[in-house]
Amino acid sequence: MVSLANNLPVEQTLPADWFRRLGLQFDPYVHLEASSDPHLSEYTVNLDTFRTAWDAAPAIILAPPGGGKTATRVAVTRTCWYDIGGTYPFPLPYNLGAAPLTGKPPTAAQHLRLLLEAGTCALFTGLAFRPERLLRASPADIRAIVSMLRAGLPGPLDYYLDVLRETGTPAGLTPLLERTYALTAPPPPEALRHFCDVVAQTGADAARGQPADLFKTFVDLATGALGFSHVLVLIDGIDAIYENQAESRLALQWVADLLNQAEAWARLNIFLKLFAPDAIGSRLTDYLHTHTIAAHTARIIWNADLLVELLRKRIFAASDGRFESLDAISSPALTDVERRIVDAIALLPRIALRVTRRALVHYAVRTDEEQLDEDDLRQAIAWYQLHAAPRL
Amino acid sequence: MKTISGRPSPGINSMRRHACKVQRRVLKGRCGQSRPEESVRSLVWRTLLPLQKRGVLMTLPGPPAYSPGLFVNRETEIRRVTDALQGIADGKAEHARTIVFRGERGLGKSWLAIHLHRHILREEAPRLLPQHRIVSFLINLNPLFDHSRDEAAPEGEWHVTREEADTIVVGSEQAFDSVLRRLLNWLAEELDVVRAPFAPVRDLSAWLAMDVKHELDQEASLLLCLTLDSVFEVNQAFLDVLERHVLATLAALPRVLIVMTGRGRPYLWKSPYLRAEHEEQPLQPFGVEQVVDQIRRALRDTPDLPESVNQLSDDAITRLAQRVIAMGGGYPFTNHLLTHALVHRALDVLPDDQRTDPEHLAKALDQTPIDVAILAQVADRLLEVIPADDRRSLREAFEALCVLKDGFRENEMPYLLAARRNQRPEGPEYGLPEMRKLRDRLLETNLVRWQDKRYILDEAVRAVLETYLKRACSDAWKHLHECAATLYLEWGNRYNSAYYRDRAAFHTRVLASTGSTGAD
Repeated sequence: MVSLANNLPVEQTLPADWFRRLGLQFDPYVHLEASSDPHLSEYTVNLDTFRTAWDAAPAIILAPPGGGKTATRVAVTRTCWYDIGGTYPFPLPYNLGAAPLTGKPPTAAQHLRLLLEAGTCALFTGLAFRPERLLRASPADIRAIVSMLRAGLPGPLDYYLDVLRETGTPAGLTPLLERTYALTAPPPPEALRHFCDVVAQTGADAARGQPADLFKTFVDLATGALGFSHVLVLIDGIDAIYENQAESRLALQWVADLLNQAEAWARLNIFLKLFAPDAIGSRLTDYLHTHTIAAHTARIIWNADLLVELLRKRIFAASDGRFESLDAISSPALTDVERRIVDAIALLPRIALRVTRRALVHYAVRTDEEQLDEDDLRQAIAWYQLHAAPRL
Repeated sequence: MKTISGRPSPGINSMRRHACKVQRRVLKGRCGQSRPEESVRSLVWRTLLPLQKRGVLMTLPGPPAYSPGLFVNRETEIRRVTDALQGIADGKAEHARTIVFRGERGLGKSWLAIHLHRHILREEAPRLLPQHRIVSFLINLNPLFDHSRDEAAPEGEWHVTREEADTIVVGSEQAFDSVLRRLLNWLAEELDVVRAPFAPVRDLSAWLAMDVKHELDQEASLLLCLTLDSVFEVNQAFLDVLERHVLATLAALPRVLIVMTGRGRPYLWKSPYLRAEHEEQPLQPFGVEQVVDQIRRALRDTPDLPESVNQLSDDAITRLAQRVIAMGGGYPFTNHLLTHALVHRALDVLPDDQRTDPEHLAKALDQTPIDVAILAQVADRLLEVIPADDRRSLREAFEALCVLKDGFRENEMPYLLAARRNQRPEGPEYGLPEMRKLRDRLLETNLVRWQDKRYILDEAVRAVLETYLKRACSDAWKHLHECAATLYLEWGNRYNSAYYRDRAAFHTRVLASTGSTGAD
C-alpha cells in the first residue's frame, strides 16, 4: 500500500501566499517523507507509541511499511534536541540500511563501530545546532568530547568544521552526517564560529581503544559532561535490506546481537529502540521471550479516528492553533471533511495526506474567492480511486 | 464616582432619571436607524458621558486585586496541584508534572495562579510535606505591576512589564531576548545559581538547565514549583522561545511541577512533558453556592457600604446570586461587576431612611432593573483585553455573532455582520478575504476559539453581550436572530442538514419567547 501511495501522481506546488490567505502558515500536507518535514514533531499523533519510543526502557516499535515508524523515530530525534538546556535523552539514530553491503549481518564489534560512527555524526551535528551545550562543559570534558568526535566521525573533523564555517549554518552538516538531524533554532553565526574555533583549538587526538570501551566512553560523555538524561539507540532500516523483506528469519540475525545487549545497555543508561516492520514482529517477540529479554512492544495501528486526528493536527499546527479542521474553510454544505476522506481510502497516513492535499489542489486551482466544497472532495477521492484503488 | 461610595447629592435622583430618559431616547433612535453609522454603544456613551462625569451614572470597578479573604471555590483545582506535588515528592512516576487550567475570560485564572503560589505552595504545601523544601515561583505573562513606578513584585514572583508585553505582542525572536534574559537571570538569582546578566540568552538557558539539574541531584528533598499565568494569551512565537529556553528543560527534570493558566487557542507544546504528560482541567463558572459565597465576601470587604448590605438574608443573597448568574453566566469577574452594579443601583433607588434596612434593600435588589449602560460597561470590561485601537470594530463583530450560541464558521459571518449593520451582505467588505481577515483578528483576541467543529465566543463575553444587546436594542437583537433563523433554515433545506434545521428552530424559539425582553 505504500507503493500505492507513492504511485499517485506527484502534486503541483502551491504558493505559500495561497495558504496564508486561508489562514495557514505552511502547506500541512506536502511532506510525505518524515525526515524532510520541519514541522513533524508539532503534529505527532499516537502519543502512546511516542512515549514507548522515548521512555527509558528497551522497546520494539512495530508498524507496517509506511505506517509511521520513521516518522516516530524522526519525531523522537528532533524532540530530544528541541530545548536549549539539554536535559532530554540523546537520540542515536542507527540505520541498518546504511551498514556496509557485505551480505552478512554485522558482528557485535561491527555494530559497536557503526554505532560509534552514527553516534558521533549525530552528536557533532546536534552540538553544531546547540553549541552552548558543549561550551558550558569543562575544558577537560571538551577535550574528551573532541577526541571522541575525531575517533568516530567518518571523515576528518577539520573538514566538517570547514563545512560549518563556509556554510555558516549547521544545516550544512545534516545531509553529510545525519539526515534526521534537521533541527530547528540554529545558533547565531558568531556562536557557531566560536564553536568551530573551540573545537578546532582543542588539541585532542582521536580517542583509541576497543569498540566497546570507546562506545561506553561516548555514552558516559553524553550523559555526564553533556547532561543528556539517557541514550536512545533508534534502530531503523531493517526492512531496507532486500533479503530481510523476503525472509523474516534473516532480519532477526541483523538485530540479534543488539537485542542480546539490551538489558546490559539499560543498566548503562542506553536504551535500545527497534523500529521494525509488522511482518517480523512475531519473530522478534518470540526471540525476546526465548532469551528472556525485557523489552516493551508497541504496535502502530492506524484506524480511521487516528488518521482523522493526523489530518486535523496538521491543520491545527499550520494555522497556529486557529482551527483544527478543513471544515473551517469549507462551504456550509461540507462538514467533517477529514472523516469523509478517511472513510473513502485505505487506512494509511501517506494515502490520507496525499488525498487531502489533492482536494486542496483542486480547490486552489479554482479560485481563492470561494471555499473548499463537495466537488473538491469528490475529485480527490475519484483521483485516488483511479490511481490507487485498482491496485489494492 | 460618588454613587459608589458616598451619599447621593441633593437632586441626584432626578438627574439620574434624566439620564435614563436620554438613554432611552438614544436607544430608540438607534433602533429606528436614525444614525445607522454609529454603534449603540458609542451613542450611549457620547450622550451619557457628560452625565457620568457629573457623578450621575455609576462607573464599574476594575478587576479586584487578589485577596486571600475574597478567594472562593477551586478546591478541586487546588487538590489537583497538591496531589501532584505529593506524587512528585513520593517519586510516583504516574503523576503528571504539568497541570494546565484553562478557562474563559473572567473565570479567575489569575487569582487561582496567585492563590496557588502565595497561599498553597508557599504556606500550605510545606505543612503537608514537612520533609521537603518547596520553592515556588510565579511567572505572570500579563502585566500587573508598573515597574517604571518602582512597584516591586512580591517575593518569588516575576511579572512581565507593560513594555515587555508590548514587545512580545509585536516582537521577533531577537526582541524576545531581553524578556527572556530578565526572566532567566531572575530565576538564576532566586535559585542562587550562575548569574550572568549580559550573557547570550542561549548560554543562560544552558547554564540554568545544568545548574538546576545539579541542585536537584544534590538535594533530594527539593521540590521546584513554577506557576505561569496568562500563558495562552501570549504571542505563540514567544511561547516557542519560552518553551525552548525555559519550560521544556525544567519540565524534564524529576522534581519540578509546572502549573499553567490561560485562555484562548491552545498551543502545541513540543516537549512531551508539556504536551503529552500533562493534566488539563477546564475551569468552570461558579454555581449559585459559590456566587453566594463570592458576594458575601465581596460585600464584607467593601467598607463604605451601609451595614444593611451585610445583614441581607441568605435568601436575599441567593436571589441576587441567581440574578447575577442569569445575566452573566456565573463567571467570577462578571459576578463581581454585576453584584457591584446591582447593589449600588438598589441603594441608589432607596430613600435615605430605607437604605439601612436589609428588608427594603433585599426588595430593591429583587426589583431594580440593571441599567443598560451598566451592562455596556460590563461588556467593556470584558473586552478590555482587546487592544484599544481594534476594540470598537471588533466589538461590532462580537455583537453580531453573540446570538450564535452554538458557534459559527466563516460562512455565517457576512450575514450576521451585515444584519448588525442593517445592510445586505454584498460588496467586497463581506467577501471571503475580508471575512477571513476578520476571523483572524477575532481569534487574536483569545476571546474566540475553535472548539469541535466551530468557532465559539468566550461564553462570559457572549452571554453579557447578548443580554446587553437584548436590553439596549431589542430590535437589533431580534434582527440578528431572525437573520440566523432564516439563514439556517435555508441551509437546512438546501443541504438537507438536520444540524442547520435544529439551529433554525433554536433561533425561532428564541424569537418566540421575546415577550420577556424586559427582564434581565
